[in-house]
Formats: sequence, structure tokens, C-alpha cells
Amino acid sequence: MVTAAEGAGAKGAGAAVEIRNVTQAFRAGDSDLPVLDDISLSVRPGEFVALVGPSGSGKSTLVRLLAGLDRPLFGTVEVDGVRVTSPDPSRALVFQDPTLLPWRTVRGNVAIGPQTRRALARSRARIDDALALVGLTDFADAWPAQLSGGMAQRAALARALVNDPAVLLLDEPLGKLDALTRRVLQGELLRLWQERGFTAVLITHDVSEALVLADRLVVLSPRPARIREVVEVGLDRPREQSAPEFVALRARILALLDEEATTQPDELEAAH
Amino acid sequence: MASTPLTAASPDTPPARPAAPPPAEPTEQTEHAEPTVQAEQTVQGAARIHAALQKVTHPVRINPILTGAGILAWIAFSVLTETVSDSPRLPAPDIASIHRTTGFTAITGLVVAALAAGLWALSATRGRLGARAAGRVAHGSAWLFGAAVWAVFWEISTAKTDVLETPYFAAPQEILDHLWSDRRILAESLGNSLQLLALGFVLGLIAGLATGVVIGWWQQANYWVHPILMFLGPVPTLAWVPVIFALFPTAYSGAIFLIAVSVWFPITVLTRAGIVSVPRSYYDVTQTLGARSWFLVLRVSLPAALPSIFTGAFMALGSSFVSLTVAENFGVNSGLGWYLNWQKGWGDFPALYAGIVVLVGVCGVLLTLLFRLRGWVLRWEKELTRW
Repeated sequence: MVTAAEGAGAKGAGAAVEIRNVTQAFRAGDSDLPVLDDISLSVRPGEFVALVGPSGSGKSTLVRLLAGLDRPLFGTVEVDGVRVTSPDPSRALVFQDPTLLPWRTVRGNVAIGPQTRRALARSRARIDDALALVGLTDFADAWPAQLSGGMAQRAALARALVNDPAVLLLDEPLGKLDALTRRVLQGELLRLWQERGFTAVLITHDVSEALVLADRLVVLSPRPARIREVVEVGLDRPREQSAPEFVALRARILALLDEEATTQPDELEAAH
Repeated sequence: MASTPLTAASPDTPPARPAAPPPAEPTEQTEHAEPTVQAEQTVQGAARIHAALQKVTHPVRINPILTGAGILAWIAFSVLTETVSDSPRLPAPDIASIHRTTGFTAITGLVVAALAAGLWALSATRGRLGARAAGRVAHGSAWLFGAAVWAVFWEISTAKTDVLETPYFAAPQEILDHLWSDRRILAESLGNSLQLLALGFVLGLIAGLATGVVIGWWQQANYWVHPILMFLGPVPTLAWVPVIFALFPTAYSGAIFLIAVSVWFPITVLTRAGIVSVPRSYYDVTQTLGARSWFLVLRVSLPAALPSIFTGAFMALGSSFVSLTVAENFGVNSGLGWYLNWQKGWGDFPALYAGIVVLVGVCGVLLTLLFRLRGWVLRWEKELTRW
């Protein structure tokens, strides 16, 4: 798994993701709560796809299935033709909360991946590279409790990237950051994606963010989530948020989401 | 956190520079003068900020009256001990005991005064050593004075007037006398106690951690062990004594078991509690990074449970002292607990107090060490400087 050429981050390292007829439901108290309803989606290798939808629509559930943390009730998830049944370091996940282990320094957190493969000793350079990649070299020995929100999320990103993932799953990774930090990190994410060539699946409720980053937007309906529409963005990067095409696209997607939000009378009933 | 978004977002880029000179005055002069003025202002600001922070973070104020009074009070104690004659009502053995150590006691008082004065003088020096000394003096001066007042009262009420009557009360000299004359047997008892305590504590700790982890992780194990834990754990040590000394081949092994049980219970309960409350996201995130079960058990759940485990360790240390003295009184004929009981049998109260002084010292030192260990192990938990 660990070769000499690693860390070069050759373009085209991304994997194809295939979601086929996935349905997922949970039991909430006495009632069954359907969350995903027959979702099918193909993501090309190295593509950047964003899932947007109202909050509580089951976006995070889908990402957990992709990560292999949960298994779907019906349907399959495949990555490069292999069915996903358990978590794997080739599919990295970054949460909304950085979830750094507080008793490990930044470097210790980034080292978790190599350590689980007993490759800590020969991964020193990789870990340093990952820290440098997100600009945390000077904070390698800091405790997570000392970091600001943006820095903590950078550390979480480095921790995911040190495994050189083929798929990077981003579950609202910038959701809790202030507007300024968020903009900076959006740029960073784009740069990392372009440099490393992984397939990226981003979950967000921020339509602008999705439009700045993604190749395609998948608009989901409220719970139980169905794919409402898939929108090709087709704008050159870096994208200017004030460009007329951008504004028009944004308005169209927001209209789609609004429409969905108002035509869901049964949503509350389903939750009870 | 949110107040410093710029530094937060890009820690490796230099801080934002002051904006270019205002465009309102585009003359060459102002363009050149402006940056230097700004720079000077910044430096002045930094010096002022440093001074202000110094006041906030080092509010050390040595109270000269209190510190001076403390030192003088200890000198007064020494003078009083040495010059005022002892009460004629004291029985002959006590008189003899007091006589042997009066000089030593007076010197002890002077040493305390000299140490305090020396530390006070040191605090006037610059640098880290001086700052530490200043902190110590500022913090300890009230205790210095209070302890001296107590020592004077103690000396007068026992040796000098016999208001607090012998044999139930003992003068400081008598306790010092016994600490010295019984030093062999006290040291031996201390050694035996520490050995027994260490054996029992370590065994109980290992067993407790193992049980706590197992029942925290496996529902099936929890089903069987938890009820046993809840019913047998809180049974007082004293109640086990007859059973244990009947079941165990030697009294010593029984004593180890007794201490181990009293350590095992709190450690198990709090290890389990700590592990059960580990956020699920820690497991999720480490699993996606490639972690398998052993990593999750040993490198995620155990460290995450450490704050809780330390709470258990403090409780365990307390109950292990109880078990130790109980065990030493039944069957194990050595150690501090045994010494106390033995001296009680002779009705030798000053010796009893001497034994208690040693025991108090041991408990205090061990508890302090545990606090230090906790502070170091859980240093990531502290409120540190945030960036």
C-alpha cells in the first residue's frame, strides 16, 4: 500500500463511486423513519460532486453509507467496482466537527492513519507533508484545545489526506466556520482537490459554496431524500460569485429548494 | 475563536500589515513619515500591553507585615520553648522526654523562620527563580503565620502549663522525641505499609481497568459483571476481614486482596462510565482512518476515559488507605496501621501521635503525587493559550 512514489499526489488518483437504488431508514421510537428513498448516482473518478438539500434531508446518512460506517437497508454502494461494507482509509471522511482526538497533538492526530497500519516510523515525511499542505507545520505540537475552528478543520483535513484517499467525503466541513475562514478554506479545498486528484463528495446547505467548488450539484428533496435534479455547473474555475451565469444558476437551485421546502406537508407526520 | 479569523485561517502567513497611508494627503513627506510613526506607536503599545499583562498574570503581592509577623512568630516560638520552664505538674517520663528534645524543637522553629526569611530575600532577585520564590512567599505567608500561632498555643497549653493534660495530649517536643527514638521501627513500618499498599493498589488498578474496559465494551460481560459489581463493590472492607483471612493461605496475601478489592471497585465503575460516554464520533473518525477494534479499545476509548479513570483513582487511593490500616490490624503484624494499634495497646499517646504524623505525611504525599500525575497526563485537557 505504501510505495516510494506516494505523496506525489498524481492527478487521476480518484475512484469512481456508484450508488445504486439506495434506501435507508431508521427506527425513531415506535415509528419507522425513511431517510433515503431509492437514490442512484454515479460519480466519475476525480469528479467534485456536491449534495445540497434542506437540513435533515438525509445528506449525512448518505455520506455515512459512502464511508462504510453504516450499511444501506436496500441497494448498494460501490467504489471502483468494489462493494462498500466497512470503513476504509481510501475513503476519508471530514465531519462538520473536526473531531480531533483531544489527547493527541495535531501531529498525533494526523498520525492516526499511518499508526493504524503500523507504518508510523516510515511515515514521518508523509505526516510532515500533510501538515505543510494545510499550513499547520508551526502548530504540529499544539493540542486541539488550543486551535481555532479553522485550524482544527485544517488539521482534520490533513488527517484525512495523509492516507492519500481516492475519495474524500466532506460532511459540511465548513459549516461551523465564520464567513472569512470559510472562504479561505474553500480555496484551500479546491487547490487540494486539483493537486491530488481525488474524487470529492461534498455535503452542504450553502448553495454558493457548492457552486464555487463542485462540477455537479445534486439537489435532494426533504426527507425521505430523493434526487430532485442534477445540475452541471460548467463554469471555469476560479468562479466569480458575481458573474451573471453564477447568479442565475444560484437562483435556479434556490428556487428548486424553496419549492421542495414548501411542498412537504407530510414531513412532520413522518417524523412522529 | 471566531474573533481572530485571519490568523485562524492562515497561521503561516504574516499578520495583516497596517493599511497604506491615507490617500487624503498624497505629499511625499507624509508618505514617508506615516509608517515610522505607526511602527513606533505599535512598539509603545506592545510595551504597555506587556506591562498590563504582567499585572494580570502575576498578581503576586507579598504582604510584608504578614510575612514579617510569621517569621517573628516562629522565632518567638523557639524562644518560648527554650527559655520558659516546663510545667511542674507534668509526670516524670514526660518531663524527661521534653527535656531531651527541647533544644531540637527550638532549633526547628528557628530553621522554619530562617527558611522563610531566605525565600523572602530570594524573591527580591530578578528572573524566574525570584518570581517562583515571590509566588511561594506570597501564597504561603498566611500559613507561615497561622502555623506559628498554632505552634505557640500548642507549646504553651501542653509543655508549659499542662492545661491540655497528659497523657491524652502531647507537647510538640514529645512527638518529635518519639519520631526520633522510634525512627527504626517507624521507617520499617512505613516501608512495609508502602509495599503492601503498592502491591494491592497496582493489582486492583490493573484488575479494575481490565474489568472496566471489558464491561464497557461487551454487553454480554456487562450483563454478568455489573450486578456483581453493584452488590459486592460497596461492601465495607472491614466486613470481608474474617472471610478473607479464612480463605487466603497467608494473612499477607489476604491483605493484598483486601486492598486490591477496595481499589478495583471505584476504578472499574469509573473506567466503565468513562468508556460508555466516549463520543461515537471518535470511533467513526478513527474507523474511517483505518482503525480496527484494538486501536478503538486501547487508543481511543481508554485515553478518552482517562479523566473519569483519574476520578476513580482518587477514590481508590482513599479507600486503599482504609483497607491498609484495617488489614494491618488484622493478621499482618507490621506496618503503620499495626504500629498505631500496638502503641494504643501501651497507652503511649505521644507515640501514637508520632505514628499518625507519619501516616498523615504518607497520605498527603501520595495524594499530591497523584494530583501531579493527573495534571501531567491530562495536560491536553487544561485551558491552554488559544491561537
